[in-house]
Amino acid sequence: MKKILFCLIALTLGSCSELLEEVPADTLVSSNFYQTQSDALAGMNAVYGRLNKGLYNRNFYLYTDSFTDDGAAGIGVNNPFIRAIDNFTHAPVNDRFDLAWQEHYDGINRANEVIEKVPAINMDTQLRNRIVGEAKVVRALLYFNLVRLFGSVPLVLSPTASTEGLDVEQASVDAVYEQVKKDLTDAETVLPLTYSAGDVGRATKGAASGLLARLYLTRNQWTLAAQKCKEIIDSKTYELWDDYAKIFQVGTENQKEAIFSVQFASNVSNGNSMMILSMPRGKVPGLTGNEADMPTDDLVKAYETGDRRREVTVRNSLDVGGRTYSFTNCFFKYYDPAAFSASGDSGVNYPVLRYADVLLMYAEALNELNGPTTEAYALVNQVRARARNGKTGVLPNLTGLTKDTFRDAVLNERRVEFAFEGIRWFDLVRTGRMVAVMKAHGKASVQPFHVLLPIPQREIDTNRKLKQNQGY
Amino acid sequence: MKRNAIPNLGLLTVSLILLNSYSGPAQTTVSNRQPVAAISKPMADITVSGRVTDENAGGLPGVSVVVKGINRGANTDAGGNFTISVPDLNAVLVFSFVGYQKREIPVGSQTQINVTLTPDDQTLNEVVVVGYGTVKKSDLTGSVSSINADQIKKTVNTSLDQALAGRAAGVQVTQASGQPGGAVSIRIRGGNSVNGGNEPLYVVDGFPIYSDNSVSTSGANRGPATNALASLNPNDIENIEILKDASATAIYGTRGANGVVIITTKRGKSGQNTVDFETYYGAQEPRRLIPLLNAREYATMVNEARVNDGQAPYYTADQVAGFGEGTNWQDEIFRSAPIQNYQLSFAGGNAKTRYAITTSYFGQQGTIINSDFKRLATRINLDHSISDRFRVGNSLTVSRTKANIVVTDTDGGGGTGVVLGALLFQPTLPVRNPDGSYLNRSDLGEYGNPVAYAEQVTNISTTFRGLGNFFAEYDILKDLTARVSVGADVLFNKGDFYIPSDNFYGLSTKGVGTVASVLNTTWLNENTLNYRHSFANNHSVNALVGFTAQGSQVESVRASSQNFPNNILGPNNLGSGATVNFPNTDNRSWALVSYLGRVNYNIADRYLLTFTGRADGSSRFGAGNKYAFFPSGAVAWRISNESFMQNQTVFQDLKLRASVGVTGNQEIGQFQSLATLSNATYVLGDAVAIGYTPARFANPDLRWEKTVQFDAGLDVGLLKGRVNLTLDAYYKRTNDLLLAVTVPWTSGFGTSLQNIGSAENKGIELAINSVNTTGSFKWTSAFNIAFNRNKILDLGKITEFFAGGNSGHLKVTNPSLIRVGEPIGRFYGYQADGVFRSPEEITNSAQKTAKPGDRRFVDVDGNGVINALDRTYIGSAQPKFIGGLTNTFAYKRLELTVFLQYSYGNDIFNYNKIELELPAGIQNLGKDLTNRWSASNPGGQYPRATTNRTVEFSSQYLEDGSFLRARNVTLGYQLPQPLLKRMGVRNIKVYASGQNLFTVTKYSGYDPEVSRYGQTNLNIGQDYGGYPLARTLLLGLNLGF
Repeated sequence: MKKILFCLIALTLGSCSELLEEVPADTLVSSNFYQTQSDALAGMNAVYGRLNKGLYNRNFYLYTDSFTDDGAAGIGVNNPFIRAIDNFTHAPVNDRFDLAWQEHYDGINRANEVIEKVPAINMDTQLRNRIVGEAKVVRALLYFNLVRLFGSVPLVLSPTASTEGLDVEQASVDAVYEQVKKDLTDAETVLPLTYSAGDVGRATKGAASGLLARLYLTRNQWTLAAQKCKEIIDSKTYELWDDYAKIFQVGTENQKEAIFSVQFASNVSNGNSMMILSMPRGKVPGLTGNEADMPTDDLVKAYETGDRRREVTVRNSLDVGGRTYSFTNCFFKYYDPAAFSASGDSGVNYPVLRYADVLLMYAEALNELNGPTTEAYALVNQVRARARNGKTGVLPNLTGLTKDTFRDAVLNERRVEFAFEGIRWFDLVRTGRMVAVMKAHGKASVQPFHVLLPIPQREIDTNRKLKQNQGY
Repeated sequence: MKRNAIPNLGLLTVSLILLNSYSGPAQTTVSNRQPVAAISKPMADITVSGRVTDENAGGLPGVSVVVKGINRGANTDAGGNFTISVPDLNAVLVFSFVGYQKREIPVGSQTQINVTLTPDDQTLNEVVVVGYGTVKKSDLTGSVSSINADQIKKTVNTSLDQALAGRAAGVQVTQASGQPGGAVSIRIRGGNSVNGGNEPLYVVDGFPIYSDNSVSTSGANRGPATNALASLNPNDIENIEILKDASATAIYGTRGANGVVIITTKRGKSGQNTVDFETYYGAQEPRRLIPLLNAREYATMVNEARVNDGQAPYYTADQVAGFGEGTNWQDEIFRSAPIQNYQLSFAGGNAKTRYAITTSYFGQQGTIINSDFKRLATRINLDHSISDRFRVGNSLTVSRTKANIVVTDTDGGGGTGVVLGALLFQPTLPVRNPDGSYLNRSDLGEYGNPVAYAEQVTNISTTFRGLGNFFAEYDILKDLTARVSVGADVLFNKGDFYIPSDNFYGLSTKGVGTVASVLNTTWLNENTLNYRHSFANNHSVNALVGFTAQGSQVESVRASSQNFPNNILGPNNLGSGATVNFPNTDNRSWALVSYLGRVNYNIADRYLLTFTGRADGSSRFGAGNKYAFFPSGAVAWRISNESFMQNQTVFQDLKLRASVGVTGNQEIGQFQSLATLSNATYVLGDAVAIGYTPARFANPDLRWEKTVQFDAGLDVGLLKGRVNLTLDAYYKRTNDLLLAVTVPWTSGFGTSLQNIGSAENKGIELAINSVNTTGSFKWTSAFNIAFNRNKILDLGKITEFFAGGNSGHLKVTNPSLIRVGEPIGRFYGYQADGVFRSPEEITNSAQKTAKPGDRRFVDVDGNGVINALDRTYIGSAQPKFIGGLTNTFAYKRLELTVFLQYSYGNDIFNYNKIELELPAGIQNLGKDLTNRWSASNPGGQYPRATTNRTVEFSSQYLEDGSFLRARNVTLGYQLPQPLLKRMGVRNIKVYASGQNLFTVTKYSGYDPEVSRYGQTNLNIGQDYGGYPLARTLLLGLNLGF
């Protein structure tokens, strides 16, 4: 009897280790992923997937447009941290800056994963290089955002694999820019100019070049910026839409003018919720808006009479069922009529970089190098001509400006052209105008140190190697 | 393991049977011979009569009188008299009666036998079930509390865990939701773990179950979690033992740290074939309703808020004047609801086979409309002696439960649940439109009609559970017993959820349906050898070794779609939803492989030693940490058995106990040590593209949380056993906390589960049972009280972190701060200081931009500004002490039991109070808000009306959650024996009972028993639109044949 029992114990012992091995049946683990070409593609999809959840789905708006003279917190804003951003009373404890930091670094870690692991996969070489290039564009975009928002930030370039070495020191601003430049330059050599239909939305060579141009412009490297813009124009890949509205319509948003956009679709997990957050609240039957992210009167006034861009960007009435409903100005760029009753799920993309930006960057760079040349005028006026939308006698061509007034004119053009596209804050900061403009806009609390966001307190508490930005 | 163990068991069973076949038949013949002999000499019968009396010389009715060895017996009548015929002069009569010591008397030449039975010294001879065996209570070295069927039956319990409330010292039971079948959270001697599970391990008839509601519910339902243990019928329970110290729990190793609740269900007893029918029927209602503004007061406030902010009033003066009381939405959702239970049980058997079969139906409607819980359960417990040495048996229960859930315990705003909705929805609006359809939404706020939300939403959770454990036991030697058990727990849950498109919450989705199911299969194999031996006069040893393996697989599937053309089919035809949501499937397993041993050593009934050890291997942990060993040791000294104590009469029992040991906690879910990936989606080429993103990075070092516990106890029996007292003091230190450690976001992750930090719990428990009076008026009391102090000792690199418990709607963030040196569950916020009443007060304050009528806060750091640095600890959800008191008064056949339960010194964070004190003009308020500050009411105690909804979490919203509650008051009457005899009935008892009859508390909410987050340890003591507990009145009948 005892023997049998002991045999039983002995027999079971043999297979125990097998029993205790954890084999996740429903969950992939990194050790069995990144084996095939489709794994490489799926990894890259996840990198992109970071962009349209949270990050570029409203949060980016809060620290690039809401911060400026363009955006204001409406009645739907209940979050004191957003109100603090609106009033320049923000501090290191702010859930929106937490998200800014967290979402960017999450995206970077995803990109690092692709950049490190895909090269080892046995697959089509050209596709492999392309995927790594795409990941580098996204990583560069995210670091470019971070360095402009927070200044000196930790430069993490490999995926996190263990609890070791998680406290990373801040790299210098120059080092971060160098890395961004390197990633984009690498990507330029391996990415195609365009994709076939099923791959539309991926990062292209144009995206890499355009971001490089933006980097040079930010760094006041005018010659390099001009060169890059010219390269893009000469590639003959892009052109302006006749109608500005086409940029923000689901059917046309990926054509002609789009260089790199965050892709949204009108479905539950990939919708653009900037629509619901900016729509009027309880004023139009069937349209459930929050009235949280609102345009300022300043912005509305910045549009010249007859500017097509105004009605695409800002509206104060809507026709529904033959009746006109009016409300205070709401911003309508991401309004998707198809998502009317499910207004959380707009399918309108968020443009990160479009051709009009290349034209205006080029104009700005040329002006900085040689003053307002004919070529520079032509570039700005090309953008203004489109904004007339066929009307005559409105938005006259620019002419007879000095280097300084041309600079002002381009900046203003950029404001009305790119409102709510995450451009305004960086323009104000890089041109050194932020404090003056925001003071004039009535934000008494604004201080020079506000050009950078505070490093999240939570991150400083967790990583003792970090230093807070001056002033906070 | 699965492949190998089962055939091996088969082999073992076969061999046991083979062994048995040599000795079995012979013995059977022997035991059959006697009755045959008795029948062969019927004429020799001798008639014996007599009277059985109790210790006070009163006749004892109903005493069983049996002729030893043969199947012949009688019962005493109302006067204690009996008559029985015996076969011969060698016969022995056995007198037995519940609560009295059994007596055997040889008949000899007597024909008249008068017997006095003496009461059992129950407390000392009681057998206590401990893990993998039993011990006499007097031999216990560990800290164990017992609750018996009598006590359990006195309260109405939907699930067995509720039966623990207030009964055992150091056991805190929180009914997280009043939803019938709703979740219960239990802490034994405080919570050890921060991020890991803190619920005790349940062992039902030997089958260990960790009651993790998240793996036993499909995930389709919204609202409070349902309780997995509600699928077991609490009336099946014979006994509950709560193992508290390490000496008792170490035998459960890695699952012992949170305490162990051992549940033994009823088994048949030989010689008594009984049929019992038990039923009760009652009505439940909410304890109280919260006074709210009526329609006119509400409309006045709405206008005031708008006018104060320079906006136009919403209602005209005529409209305001026209409003009366309006709709009290609480009246619309709450109701008086029936509760009923029917149970039929058959129990009994003979010397070889015993059985207990019960079948029961329990039906409870909730006090909120469209909520209920039903359970149909059957149990079959069998024992059979194949031979004197070989026994087999089983416990098997099969049940089906079905709960209709209403959505409660949610955040406010767009997802406002039914209870919160009833508090906040405009009293100016009717429930239904003139055409009879539901009014859809409020005209001002973001809320849907709470009545429509309760009535229109399908939210059903159906559970089937089969829990069976089969055993074979063989006495290899006289002192050595082998036992093998094989069991399975199969739980299937299906959730159906549907919000129709005409409900406010279904508007944006045009109807959304979700159906999900989970199949949770756990198997168990336990093999033990038990050796009991006495030697050298007064030494005895009881040793146990064992090998066990347990494994579990949880498989779930979930489908959802929305945008339905109509609402006719509800969740039953998801294919008709035009938009298909992402489906989800899961398949997760875990396994435990364990070796265990225990030695109890008893010297002269004076010195008792226990050593226990268990080596557990768990699949949940990192590759390098699969196995761990959990040892414990205990000593006890029965001073009362020392020779020098034999001449005193004060102490009948005096025992000192001390134990130390290590136990573990493995409740972290699956795959936590692996670098798993999670799904991500994007849009490419206008189509959804699927991707995988890292969800966590690997931690191969992940291991158990270990708790070292010291316990010292004293058991005292005084006044001839009329007073029994148990006192315990303990210290628990939990190291290697399974902590979701905050890591820099630059890693791409927010937290990583690591073994970092430590926490302690220390406390004192006292339980006193006393017989206050004897004789015809009997009064007994049972009292218990427990003090536990919790403290975080170390959190690794950080010294504090916010524990969540936020409201996205109210933008209340971080109300709870976990900090080294402080207990878990402390609330962190501003110190409220009333409202500003004048501009002068504002000028002299730290809130210069405030207006009269704004809330005022204490400038804690005195720097002249109110900011985040002024937040401080403002309360604690941990009670200072908890306990219960039961008094039972019996006069003849009438018995009154009053069971009080209490908790003292805990604060509740009342989210409802924030909502009800927010005069923003979009939602209703508490009646007190009529006393809000305004120019015309400059003495107002509540804030002025303003459309600004900014909320700062402050002490204003914390309330004293102490309570004293009459958990149960029962008056019962047992019909007299002569009457019963005439009716041919063994027993009839009728009773009236009140559950939660009254509750003394300062808490302003519905009920002080709250837990918005169910079983979590981080955010205890929060109330946000929770389903309140009911007060119940019921009538019951027990019928025995």
